[in-house]
Amino acid sequence: LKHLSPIQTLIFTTPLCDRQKVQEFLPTFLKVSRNLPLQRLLVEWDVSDLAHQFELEMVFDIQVSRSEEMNVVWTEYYNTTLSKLNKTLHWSWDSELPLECMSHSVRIRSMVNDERFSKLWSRWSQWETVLGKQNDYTPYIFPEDKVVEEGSNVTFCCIGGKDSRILNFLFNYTDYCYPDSNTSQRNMVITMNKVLHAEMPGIPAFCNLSGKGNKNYSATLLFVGKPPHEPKDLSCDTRDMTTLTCTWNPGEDTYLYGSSQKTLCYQETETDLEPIRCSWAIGQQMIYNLTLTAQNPLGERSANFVLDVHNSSVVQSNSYPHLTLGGLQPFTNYAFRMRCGAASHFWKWSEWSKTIRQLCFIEVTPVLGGRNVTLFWKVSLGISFEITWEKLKKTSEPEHISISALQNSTTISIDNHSYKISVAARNNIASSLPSVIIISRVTDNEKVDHTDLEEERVNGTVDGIYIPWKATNAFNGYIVDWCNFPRSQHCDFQWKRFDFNTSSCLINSAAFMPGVRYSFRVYGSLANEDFFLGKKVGYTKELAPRLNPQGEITEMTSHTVTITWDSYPMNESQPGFIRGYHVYVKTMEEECSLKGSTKHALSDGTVLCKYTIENPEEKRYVVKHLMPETTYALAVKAYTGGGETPIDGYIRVDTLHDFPYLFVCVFSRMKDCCCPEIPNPNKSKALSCNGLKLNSEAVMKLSDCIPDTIVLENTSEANTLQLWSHGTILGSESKVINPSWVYFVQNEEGDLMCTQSAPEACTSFENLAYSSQTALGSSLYQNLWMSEKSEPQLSILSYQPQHYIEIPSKDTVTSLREITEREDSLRYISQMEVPHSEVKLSNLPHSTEPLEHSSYKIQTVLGSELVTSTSDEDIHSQDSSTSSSSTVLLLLGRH
Amino acid sequence: MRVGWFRASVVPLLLMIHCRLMVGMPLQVNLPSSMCENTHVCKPNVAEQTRKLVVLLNATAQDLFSIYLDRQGDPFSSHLDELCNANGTNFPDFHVNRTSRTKEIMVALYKVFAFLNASLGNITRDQEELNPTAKELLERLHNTTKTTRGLISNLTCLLCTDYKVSQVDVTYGKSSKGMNVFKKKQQGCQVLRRYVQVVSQAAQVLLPHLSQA
Repeated sequence: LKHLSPIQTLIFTTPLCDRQKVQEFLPTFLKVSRNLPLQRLLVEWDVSDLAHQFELEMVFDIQVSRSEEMNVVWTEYYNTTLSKLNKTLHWSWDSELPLECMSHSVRIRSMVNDERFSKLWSRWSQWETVLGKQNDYTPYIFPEDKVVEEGSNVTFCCIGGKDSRILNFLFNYTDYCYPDSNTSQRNMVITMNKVLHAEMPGIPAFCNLSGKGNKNYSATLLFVGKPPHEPKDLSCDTRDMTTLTCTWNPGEDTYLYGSSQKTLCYQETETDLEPIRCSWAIGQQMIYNLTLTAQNPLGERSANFVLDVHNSSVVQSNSYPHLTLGGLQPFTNYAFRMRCGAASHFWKWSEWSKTIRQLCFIEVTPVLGGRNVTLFWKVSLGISFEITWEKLKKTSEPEHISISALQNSTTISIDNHSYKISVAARNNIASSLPSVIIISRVTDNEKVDHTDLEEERVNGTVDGIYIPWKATNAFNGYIVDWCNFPRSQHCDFQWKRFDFNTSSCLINSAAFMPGVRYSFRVYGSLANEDFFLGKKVGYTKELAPRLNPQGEITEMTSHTVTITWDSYPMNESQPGFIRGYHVYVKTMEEECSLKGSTKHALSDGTVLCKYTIENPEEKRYVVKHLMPETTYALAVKAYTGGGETPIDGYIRVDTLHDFPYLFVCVFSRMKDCCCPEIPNPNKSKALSCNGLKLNSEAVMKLSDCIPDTIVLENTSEANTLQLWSHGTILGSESKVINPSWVYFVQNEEGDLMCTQSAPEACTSFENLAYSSQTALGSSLYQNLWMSEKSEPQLSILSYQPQHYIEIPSKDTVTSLREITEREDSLRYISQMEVPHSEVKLSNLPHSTEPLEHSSYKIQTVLGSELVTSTSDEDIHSQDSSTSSSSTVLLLLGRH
Repeated sequence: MRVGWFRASVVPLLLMIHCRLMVGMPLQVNLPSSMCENTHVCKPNVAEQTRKLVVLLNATAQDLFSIYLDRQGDPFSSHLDELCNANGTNFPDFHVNRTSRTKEIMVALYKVFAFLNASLGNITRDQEELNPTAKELLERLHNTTKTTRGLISNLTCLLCTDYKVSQVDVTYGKSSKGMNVFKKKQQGCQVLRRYVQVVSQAAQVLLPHLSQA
C-alpha cells in the first residue's frame, strides 16, 4: 500500500488520467541475441520512463519470425508489471530449430492492462533480426552436440556452402532424408521424431553435399539420454572419524557421460567423474542434513538425508587375522577373496578384497619305511620342493635338500628321535608356506599300533570303491591313500583328504581294473600328525579265480578220499575274494548218488557230485561214502564273488580194498623198514615242541612214518625251509609280531629237538620228516610258476609259500591265517629275494627288478633300514619303525 | 646476479613456452637456444634408447589407434577414409629415408614428435571428457604421451649436443577447444591415423643411422 499511494497520487493528479486518452507505450531499444548452447533467443526492450513511473501492468505481444520472408513462427503475450527500479524488460524463447539454421526476427507491441487506460495495442516495433549461419564455402549441420531426452523430436538443418548442393541427410547411418527439390538446395531442415539412445554416446548426423567446396559433408553428434534419477541407498562411513565418505546408488544409466553429468552433495562438494561418492571432513558437526543433487543437461534430481555421526560405531582390529583352509583338493583351481565386518555391532560387509587365484595346491605325503622317510608329491610344472628336517626336542642344525620339479618323491634318513619335516613348494617367484609333519620317536608308546586294526573288505562297483570309516571328534580331517597300480612296483601312490565331518568316500580312478584288489588306508588327521585308522580292501569288480587250487590226495581209505589244496593263495593276487571251494566228484555212474553232495550238471550232460566248502580257510576235504576199489575223478575249484572257472582237469583216484586196518610202511631213506609197531606221531619227539600239539584227528599220510632219528642229507635244504619261515615273518610288516623260529636240531642222543628263538608260540611249523616231499613241493612250485608265465601279472604270487606240510592243528590253521592276513596287509612296494639263513638281511639288495620266476621272493620293505640279524630285538626294532609308519598327508600351507 | 637474472627471465619464458606446448596452441618456436637450455652431454646409450623408444611407439601405435576408433563409434570406424583423412591436419611431413643424413632424421623426428606430443594432449583431454569410462584408451594415451616426452627429451639432447642444432621450427595442430564433439573425435582420428603411418616409417629409417651413431 505504501508503494501504491504515490501511483494513485499520480493517477489522480495528472492530466493523462483525467482525459482518459489513449496512451501508447511503444517498445523501444529492442535487442535480440542468442544463447546457442540452449538454442534460446534472448530479447530485451524498454518502454518509456513514464510507464515505469506509473508501475503499470502491461501486456507485450511478441512475434518471432524466421527467414527473410518473416514467417511468424511464434506469438506470445507477455504480461508484466513495470518497476521503477528495473527498467529493461526481458523475454526468451527456445527454438526447436537451431538458431544457426535461419535468421530469426522479433518484434513487439504493448498494451496497458489497467482499467484506467484504454486497452489498445501500440504500434509494432521494428523487426530485430539475428542472422543465421551465413553462407560461405563451408557446409554446416546444426545443432551441434545437442543433448536431448530420449523420445524427443529433434530438428536438424543442413547449410550447404556456396556453390554446393545438399544431396541428403543421414541420421545414425540408418535414416536418409532428401531435399524436396534437387535444384540448388543449399538449406535443408529435417526433424527426427522420437529419437532413442545409442549404444555409444553420440549419434552421428551427416549432411552430404556435392559442389565445388573442398568438403563434401558436414557432421554433428546428437546425445540422447535421460534426466538423472533420484540418488538412493545412501550410506556413509568413516574410517578415521575425521573424514566422512558417503556413497549412493545413482540409479539407472542415463546414457550421458562426461563432465556434463555430475552430482552435488553436502555443501556443493562436486564429486568425481563417477558420481557415486563424496566425502568431507567431519569437524565438530555431528548431525548433517545432506542433500544430494544429481545433475545432467536434461535436469536434476535431489534427495535429502539426515546423518548423525554419533550413530557410528568404532570397528578396529590391530591383529592380522589368518585362517587355514582345509578340504581343498590338489590340482584344483581356487579363487579367493575376502571381506570383513564387525563381529559386534555388525553394520555391513566391507567391499570384497582383490581376488587371488591359486592355480594348484600340492600335497606331500611321507611313507615311512623304517627310519627312512619317503615323501611323495604330485609333479607340477615349474614347481620344485624345499625339504627341511630337524629334531623336535634336541637342538640341532636343520638339514635341507632341494628337489627338482621333475621328481615326484624323495627319501630322507632320520634317526630314532622325533623329527619335524617341513616341505615348501617353490616356483620361479617365491616359496609357499611350508607344510609341517611330525615323525614320532621310534619308542613312542603313544603311536598307533596297526596290528590292532583288521583289514576290512569293502564293496566296489564300476563307479568306484566305497570306503567308510568311523568319523570321530578326535580328528580334524581324514586321509585315504591307495595305489592306482598295486601290482606294479611304481604303484602310483594316491591320496585324498576329507574334512572332519566326512565318514565315507567313493574312490574311483581311471586306472582301476576289474579283478585287481585295491588296498586303502584310512588315517585320521590331527594337527601335524596322522593316525592310522584302518585298512580297507576291495575290487571294482570281482572276477573268477584264474588259478585252480592244486588238489592233492593226501589220504585214502576204501570209503574216503581226502583232498587238500593248502598252497592255494588267497591274497591280493586273486582277482576276487576267495569265498570258498567246490569239490567235484565224478563217478562212473551217470547220476550222482554220493551222500551229502549235490548234483552239478556240466554243459556236455555229465553230472557231477558237488561239495561246497564255504570257509575259504578250509583247504582240505574228505569225500565220504565212496565205494571201495572204485575209480573216481576229483576236482577242486575256488570261487569268488565273480564265480568260478569251468573245470579243466581231474585227479583220478582208486579207492582201496575194504580192509579192516591199513598198515603202511614207507621206506624213505631210512635204515629200518616199517615195523608192526606203528609209530604214533603224537608221541614222536620230533613233535614234542613246546606249544605244539597235534590234533587228535591228525591223519598220517602214506609217507608219514616218523623215525626217531633223522639224518639230514642236505643241510641247505633244511636251511631253505627255515628261511622260508624267516621270510614269512619278515614279510609281515604291519603287525607287531614277536616271531619265533622253530629250529629242528639233532641233540646228542640223536633226538630231534625243537628250539625257539622266542618263548611265544610258533607261528609255523616245519617237520623235516616231510622233507621227502620237497621234490613234489618243488614241482608244484615250479608248476605254479610255469602257469604264471602265461600270466605275468600274477607274479606277485611268488612270495606265497608253496611248500609246507599241513599239520591239521587248529593252532596251526590259525597261524596260517595270520600269516595270510599279514601278507595281505603288506603295503611295501618292492620285493626282494629270500635271504639265506646265514646271510644277513643287511646284505640283501633292495631289489627293484621285476620278480624272476626262478627265484622265490617275498615282499619286504622298500629302502628299509638294514637289519643285521633276526633276533627279537631287531625284528622288534623293525616292527616298531614300521608300526610308526602312519602316513601323514600334508597340504602345503598348513603349518 | 647472473643466477638471479636467469631465474627471473629465462625460467618464466621456458615455462610459458612449455605451457603453450601443452595446450596445443599453434606456435612457431623459433626462439634461439630455448631448445637447448639445460641440456647436458648425452649419456652413451641415448641414441640406442631413442631408437628403442621409437620401436616401442611403433609397436603400440596401431593398438592405440584401433582402440581409439572403437571408442568413437560407428562413423569413424566404418568411414575411416572419409572422416580420418590426415590431409585435414598439420601433421608434419616425414620425408627422410635411410639414405638421409642422421641430422636430418633427428630434426624430422623432433618435428613429428613435438607435434604428436601437443596433439596427444588435446586428444587425451577430449577423451577424458567424452569417454571417461574408456579406461584402456586413456591409459594408452597417457602411456604414449609419456613415451613421447621421453623421446623428445632424448632427441633434444642428441640435437643440441651431438648435432649442434639449437633451433627447430615446429608446428602444432589446431586446438580442439571450441570444436564440436564430432570435430574433436575426427581430429584425434586423423592425427592418430597419420601417427601410425609416420612412426612406422621412423622405426624403419632410424635403425641404420642410430646404430652408426
